[in-house]
This record gives sequence, structure tokens and C-alpha cells, in this order.
Amino acid sequence: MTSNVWRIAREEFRRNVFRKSFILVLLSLPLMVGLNIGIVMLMNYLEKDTRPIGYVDHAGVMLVNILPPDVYDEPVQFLAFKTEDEAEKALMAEEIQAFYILSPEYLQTREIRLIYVEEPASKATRQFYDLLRVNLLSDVEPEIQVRIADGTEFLTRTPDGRRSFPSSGPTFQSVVPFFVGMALMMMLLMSAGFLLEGMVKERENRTLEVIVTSTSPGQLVTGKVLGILGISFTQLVAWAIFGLAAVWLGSNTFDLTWFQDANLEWEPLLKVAAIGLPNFVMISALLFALGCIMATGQEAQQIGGLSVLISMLPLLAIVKIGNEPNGVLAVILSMVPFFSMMTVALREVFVVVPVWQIILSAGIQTLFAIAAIWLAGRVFRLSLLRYGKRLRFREILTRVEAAKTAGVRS
Amino acid sequence: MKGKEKVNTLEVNNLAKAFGEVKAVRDVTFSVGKGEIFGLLGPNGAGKTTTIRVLLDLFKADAGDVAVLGGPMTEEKKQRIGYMPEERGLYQDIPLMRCLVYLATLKGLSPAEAHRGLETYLERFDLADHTQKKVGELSKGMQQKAQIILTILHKPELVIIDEPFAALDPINTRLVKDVIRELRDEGTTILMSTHQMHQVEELCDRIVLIDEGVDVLYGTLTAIRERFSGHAIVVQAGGDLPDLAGVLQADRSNHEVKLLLEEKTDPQLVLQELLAQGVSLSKFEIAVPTLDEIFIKVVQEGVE
Repeated sequence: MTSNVWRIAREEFRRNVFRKSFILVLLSLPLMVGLNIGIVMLMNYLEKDTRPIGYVDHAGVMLVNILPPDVYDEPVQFLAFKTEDEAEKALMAEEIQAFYILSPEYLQTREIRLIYVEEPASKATRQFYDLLRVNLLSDVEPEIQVRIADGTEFLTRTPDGRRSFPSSGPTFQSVVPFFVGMALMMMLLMSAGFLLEGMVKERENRTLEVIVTSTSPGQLVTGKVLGILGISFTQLVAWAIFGLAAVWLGSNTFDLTWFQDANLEWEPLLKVAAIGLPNFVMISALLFALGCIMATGQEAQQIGGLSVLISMLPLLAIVKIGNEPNGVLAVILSMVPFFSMMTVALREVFVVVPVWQIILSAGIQTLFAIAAIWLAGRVFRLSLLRYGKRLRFREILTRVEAAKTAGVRS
Repeated sequence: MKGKEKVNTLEVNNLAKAFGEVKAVRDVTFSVGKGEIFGLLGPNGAGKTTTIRVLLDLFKADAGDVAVLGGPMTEEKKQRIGYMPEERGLYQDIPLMRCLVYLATLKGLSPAEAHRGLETYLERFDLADHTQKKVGELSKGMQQKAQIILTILHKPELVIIDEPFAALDPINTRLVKDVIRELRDEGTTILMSTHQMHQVEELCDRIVLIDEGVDVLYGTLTAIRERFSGHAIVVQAGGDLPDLAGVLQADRSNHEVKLLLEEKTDPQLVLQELLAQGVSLSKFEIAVPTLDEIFIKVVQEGVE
């Protein structure tokens, strides 16, 4: 009898995973991310111009035209011209990207003109101003020049020192929990589609009637949820492989420092998983119930998508949660089913969420997951074989007693 | 209690089931003995399918008792029952063989047993060349044959089939009837719900007729026919028949005349009168009504 649970789970997995639409869905996310990265890289490549930047220094402040080493990965070369005509000739001959003109009154007026045919890349202009700063500070020590060229550096750190953010932006490891939370939500959205589509189809083609005369509703519900978990796990593994491949490529092939610093911290991931798993079961069970209630596959798909989007609502409070990651709102949302996983994922970017909150939240989510499975069993029993008719919510509430009599055996 | 005096495979006593205000089954009682082909008859909406679903524990009865294979329905008993719903239930988007093997394994067969059994049946039902086709690509008749195979593959003790001949041509109808008879001979109990009365007449030992949720006819076919006979006689005579007292109507077909008698007219008196008037009779018999005629009489005219 127990083997029926595994048979149902395996068939659910097999019927959904080994089909073109699943492969398409599986590849869609990494392809979308890859496409976006590709577009950015292409734009950077197209923007890349290795020609020097020229300047005409009427003010006599540019004593050196080389930036201190190790400040930039790709330093721009600077070329001094005595006259504007010379610089313009070089520009027209495409020997330089552009040239700056510092007016004789520069020190008083700070007037600088930039002459170009096509606007130079931002990194070129940024490096020119750094060079200018270095020249203006030529009377100070070289170390101070380098420091000034580096610009302002704020490092934001939590009181316990376990989270810190450089002003250049968050590190890879600090945003991983957020991305994992997002991936789980995407996964749920896709799995929900498969679950609901399968349920409604089975009702429509009467296969459900044959199955429930072979096995119990309890085994059917358990088998379905296990099957969906299997499908989701497959997605997770596939996406994790794509993610690791992206990190490896970014680190080794494209020399992206963001990926080179990619040390995975497991604690935040485990916290998100501890809350995410019961949340996942709860939402799957509720979606199963939804599949029983809805009369058509289209209806189920629409409402299923909506219910998963509810889980994403904490993203609307991202600024508030970011500003006060341990605030009342953030803590409350961390406990509320549907919202808890995304909220904790968001908070973990900024702070280390206390373990007691994770335990409390995981307990609440587990209770709700059990309640959702109970409800799904009842709804299944009530809606069984009501072909083409939608079960009203009032009926679910008023007929709970009848359902208790009927029971859901496993 | 109605029914045979032996251990019954199915027992239904005063069954009632309502859905909200709609009373689908109000009072149905019947029993089905082991190795019997039993007909569950009734017009559309009479409560046949609801009765079957209560038997299978898909619905709980509001009142009355149901005993299947000697007691209440259990999960273990599900493996001993084969059920074919009226509206067929196969996955449309997977190959036939995979679909049948999966559903057969839910009935307790191992995949190897399912494959072995299917090879024989698929060959017999002329489906062996279609095993790798998706179920949705098969004709309705083929899907129905596949469903019949699935229903009996695990050698159930009780087979419940709803409209088994609905989409079948005469050749396949005969094939299915042969299979049903073989199952009966092997001791399988068969509960068959159908509208095709001639199939019931050919196959069933006993029937129950349900109308508006109540059993209105129950018993062996012979007893029911006898109960509804006696108001008509079939006569074959040399020459025209004389006018006879107590005869309402005379219908001539081929060389026979069917005489519809008044309720109070005794067929024996008609025979005596015919002989007294010197009519040369080559055939005189009580007209036995067909099940179709009985069905219409009971359902439309309310005669019990």
C-alpha cells in the first residue's frame, strides 16, 4: 500500500519532468539571466575603447599623466597636447577618444571642456578626473594621492560584525540567501502550474476516479506532494548547477571580482531552507486543494499564480526591511506564513536573523503546513467527482463535520 | 431482505444518498451473489452511478448499509475490485502501455506481472500494435477496450462496469461479452450497469431496476418476464382468426398474430375459444415481454 505513494509520486514526477514544456521552463530562468548578463557584457564590449584620452592644459596643473598603478583594472592612457588644434587633429584622425581642455582660469573657475565625436566611456572620464585630482595634489605624498584617487569608502557593518557592506555594493555571499529565496519562489510558481494542471486534467479525464478506487485519498495527496517536491528539487539542482557554472565562468573566464569573492555561507541558506520547506509544503497542499475546487484548468492556473505572488509581497517592503531588518514589521513578517521565507531571505542580506526567530517561525510554518495538508484532504474528499462544479468555500466550512465522518484514510 | 440465500459479494440495504437538496438515491436494496452477472438498470439520473460510487466508497451513504466482499469497504478490498467508470479514465498524453502498467501497479500488480498480463490481453483485444501510441491518439472504442483490460487485469473478485458496450462495434461487443462470461465461469462477480437491454437479456442472471432513486424491479430475468407476461399471446393459425371476447388488439406480423388481452382475460379461455371455433393452431404461446418493454412499462407507466 505504501508503495502506491511512491508509484504516484514517481508517475507525477515522470509525467511532468520528461516533457518539453518542463525542459523549457527549467531552462527559461538561467537563459533569461544569461541573456541579461550577455546583453550587459555585450554593451560593455561595444563601449570598450582602448584609445587614449587627450587633454590640453592651459592652466598648467597637469604635471603627471599617469595614474598610480593598481588603482584600475583597465587603466586609460592619457596624452597631453600643447594646442587645441593638435588635439582636434588627433581626434579627427581617431587617434584619441576625446580630449579635455582646461581653461587658463581653471584653478579659479574649475572650467573644463570635453570635446568628442562619440561620447567616451564613463570609466575614461572617471579616470581623467582621478588623474586631475592626483595632479592637483602633487605636493602631497604618493600614498595619499592613491587614497584620494580611490575615493570615499564607507564600510557599513552590523554591531556583531557578521554582516558588512562596502560602498561599492553588496558582496556575492551577502545576496545569496535573497537569490535562493527568489529561486524557491520561482520554483513554487512553476511547480504550482504543474500540480494544478495535472489535478484538473485528472478530474476532467476521470483518471482520478480510477485512481481513488485503487488507492486511498491520503496516499494520493501524499504521493502528489512528494512528486511535486521531486520536480522542484530537480529544478533546484538544475538551477544550482547553472548558478555554479555562472560563478565559475564569472570568476575564471571573465575575471569578475564579485564572483572571485564568492565564499558560500551555509548558515543563511539553512535558515531560509528551514522556513522555506514547510512553507513549500503548505503552499503545495493549498494549491492541491485549489485544484480540487476549481472547475477548469485555466481557473486553477490563474488563482494558483496569484497565490504564489502573495508570497512575493515582502519585496514591496524591501526598503523598510532593509532600513530596519530587526524592526517590528520585519520580525512579524518573518513569522507569517506565505511571507516568512522571502522576509527572512531579505533580512539575512542585512543582518544575522536570531536563531530563536528561525526556530519559532519554522515551528509556525510547520503547523500551518500540517493544517494545510489536513484541509487539502478534506477538500479533496468533499470535491471528489464533482465534475464541472466548483466547490464553494462556504461548503468547505459547513461540511467539515460531514468530511470528518467520511474521513481521509491513508 | 431481498436476495439469494448464500454468501453475497455485494449487499445493499435501504441505501440513501443526497447531494444538498437533490436526493440521488432514496431507497435501494439488492444483493449480488458470487459468480453472478448482475444488471444494474435504470433511466438516466435514476441513481445507478451514485449507487456504484457508494459501493466503491467514493461517496459515503447518508443512510442504509453497504457490504462489499463480506463487509465494509477497506483499502485492501480495493485491490480485489475492478472498476470501469462510464466516462473512461485514462491519461491521454502518455503511451498506452505506460498508462496501463502504472494504473495496474496501483492495483497491486508488479510491473513485470502487469506487462505479462497485458501482452495476452492486448493481443486478444487487437491493441498490441498500439502500445506505444498516446492514449489520446486511440479511437474511443480502443480506449474502451484498454479500460476493460485494465479493469480485469489484476483478476479481481468483483468487477463493476458502467456501460461496457457504449463505444464498441458488434465484433468487439461480442469479444467483451465472451470475456464477461469467462470471468463469470471463473467465479468472478460482475455488476454491470447499462442501458442496452438486449445485452442484459443475454448476459445477466438477475437485475435491479432503479427509478428516481428507488429500486422498482428486482429478481431473476425469468421471474420478471413471467411477472410481466400474461396480457398478450402469440398465435399462428391456418386462416384468419375470428373475433374473440376479451381481446383488445390484434397485431399481425409475418405469419403470427399477437393478441393483446384485457387485464381480466385469461389466456387459457382464449385458447379454449379458438379451439371451440375450430381454428387450426400451429402455435399458441404466452407472449414474453422483452426487457425493453418491461423497462418502458415500469419507468414510463409506473407499473410494478
